[in-house]
Amino acid sequence: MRRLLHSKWVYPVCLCLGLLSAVPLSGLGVIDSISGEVQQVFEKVSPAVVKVRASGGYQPLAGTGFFIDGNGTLLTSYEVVRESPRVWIEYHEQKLEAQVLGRDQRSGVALLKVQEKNTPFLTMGNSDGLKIASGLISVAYAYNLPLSPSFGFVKGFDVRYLNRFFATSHVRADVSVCPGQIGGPLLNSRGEVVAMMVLAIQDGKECYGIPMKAAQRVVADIRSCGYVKHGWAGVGVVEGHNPAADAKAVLVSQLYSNTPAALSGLKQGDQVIAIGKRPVTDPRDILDAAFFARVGDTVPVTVLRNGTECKFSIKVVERPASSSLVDRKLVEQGPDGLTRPFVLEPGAPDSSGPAPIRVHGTQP
Amino acid sequence: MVQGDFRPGEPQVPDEELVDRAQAGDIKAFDWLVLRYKDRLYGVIYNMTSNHEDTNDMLMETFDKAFRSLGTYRKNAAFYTWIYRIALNRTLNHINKNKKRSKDFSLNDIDLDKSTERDLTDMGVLAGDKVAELGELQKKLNESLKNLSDKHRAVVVLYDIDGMSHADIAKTLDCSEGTVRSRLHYAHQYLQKALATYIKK
Amino acid sequence: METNDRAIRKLLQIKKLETPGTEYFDAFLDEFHRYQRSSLLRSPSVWETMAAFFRETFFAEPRRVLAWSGSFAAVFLFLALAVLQHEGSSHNALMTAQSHVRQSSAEADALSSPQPDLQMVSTSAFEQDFKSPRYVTGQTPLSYETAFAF
Repeated sequence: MRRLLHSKWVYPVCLCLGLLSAVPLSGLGVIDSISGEVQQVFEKVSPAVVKVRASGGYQPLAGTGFFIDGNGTLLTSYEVVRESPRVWIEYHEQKLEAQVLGRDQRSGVALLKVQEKNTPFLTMGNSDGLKIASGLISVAYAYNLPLSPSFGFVKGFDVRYLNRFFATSHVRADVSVCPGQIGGPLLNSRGEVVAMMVLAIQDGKECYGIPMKAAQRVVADIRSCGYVKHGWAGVGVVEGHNPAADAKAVLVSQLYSNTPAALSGLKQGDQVIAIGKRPVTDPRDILDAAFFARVGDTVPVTVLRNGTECKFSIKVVERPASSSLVDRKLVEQGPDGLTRPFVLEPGAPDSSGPAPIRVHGTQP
Repeated sequence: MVQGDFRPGEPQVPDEELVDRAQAGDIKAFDWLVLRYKDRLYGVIYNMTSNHEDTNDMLMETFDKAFRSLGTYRKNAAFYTWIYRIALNRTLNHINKNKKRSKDFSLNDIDLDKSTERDLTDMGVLAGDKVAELGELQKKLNESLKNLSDKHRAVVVLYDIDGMSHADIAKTLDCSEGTVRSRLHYAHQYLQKALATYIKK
Repeated sequence: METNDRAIRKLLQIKKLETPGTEYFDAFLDEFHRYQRSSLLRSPSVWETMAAFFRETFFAEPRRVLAWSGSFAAVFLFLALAVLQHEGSSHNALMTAQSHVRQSSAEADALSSPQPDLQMVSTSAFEQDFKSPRYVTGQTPLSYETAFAF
């Protein structure tokens, strides 16, 4: 026994035992501190998050929105207002009519305004700083229930969901979404809004949010000219694999006719490696660079063709609002092999299937 | 009640996407597919069996089987030909099993209101004064369909009533387009004789 | 020949008018869900498994019989009472049990269908004018762009 006590292992073992016993105690503390933080953020942002209602077709639509400045300007999701002529919010238990400053189906954002002064509003956070496993708090109205918080982590940043490409990369989080919560804010631990919930997936267990930086770009366009000018170059790309570098690659797959890309000198098969000064390593880089490019800019595109670097310049034009942009043939031969018929004109007869996709007027 | 995006004139979620979501575990996505196809599938099964109770059973079994076999659905065929195939297999099995018993028709009533009369004259089916003969015509139609063999009835139901193309019928019934055309031809010849008195000159 | 084909087709359109009525189709989805739930019980393997279980328990380990029979008697009593309470329908015991299960299940399940009671006691400013709005589920795709293009 005495030999054991004097052994050189006594002190390290005791130290380990001491630490191990401390861990369960600190474990309890972690849970309390998470909920404490969520409570703090929830209390701080609650006054700025409101219910939104819009006069629907046969049924009014209901969702969530939030103030972004003290003059009564609000952000919400396009899905909550769609093309409704009248929109209301609930503020201080009063029903207030809201003016729609602008709504953009492509980005999924709508900007509203109410005649109120000194409205509490959410501070914008830096959505570029989001990483995998960043913690996110959502505060929104489910159904007709009181405001409630939820908590989760960033799982990834995606350019598409299933077969559909977003207009810009969206953040995917395992924050649960109930009906009515779309349009609600996703906040960081400091209570700053970093994204807006726009899409529920996995039966409401996860969600996609549009990063605030992208939403602010939409807001800026709406404020300056009432609608969003999406840029367009005319380059179709496809995600591929570069065996030499064993990395993801983005390759040019189509050049749409009558577009700046068609005249630029780019060819099918070119691997895009930079847009402007921004190196392209991931499809996200292209999508985001395209989303943030302004109409009228001249964007330099660097590609790898047969091992040599080539530079081209493309002038960004405005994305056409009409659906004639996307040629039916091109969609059916799309890079992901989709062969659903794509009806361009409303009411055009299509006999090859029961549910053709009808494109709404303003959708590209 | 699932509230889907069924506002007319607005973009609908395509079938394949609903299937993807359902395969990924989104049960509501499958509900939307049920809502989308219940009417047409009811029509197809009913026109094969001419019995409402059997049709209801078959329809339930079809959706149940489709739900259980979602995992085996591969996107090389359109979803709707896949589910139509399940419905027809079920229905044909059922009909064969019950061949011994001569089942009475359990026909649904034709809704004879003003709009139906207009539909019928618009369709060029009947002149206004012949609407009174509708009951007779309904019986005659059902008898003639019953007299066709299952295979011939199936092509008539899918082509003439449901409006499927020859190609899709071939995929659904797992036969060649030529077979579809020849069965249709034979069936039409028979129906033409059986319904001669009703065919407008 | 072709005109006869068209005539036959027109006549067959009458079959389209033979419908069971809108009530049938409106209630269809709910009926289908009921069908799916009851088909779980109809599956023979469930009963076979239970029968095998009883056989094994009773004959293999008699000492456990008392304990098991006691608990099964309690369960049986509960079900019998539930059945007696709702006479006339063979599905009611199942539905009672199901509704108990549903009520005690996770919040997500409870919220999967709007609960009228909650709406009635709400003091929302919207209540009068927006009695039953469609709560945006956020399940519509954000984009129809099936090609990645910029």
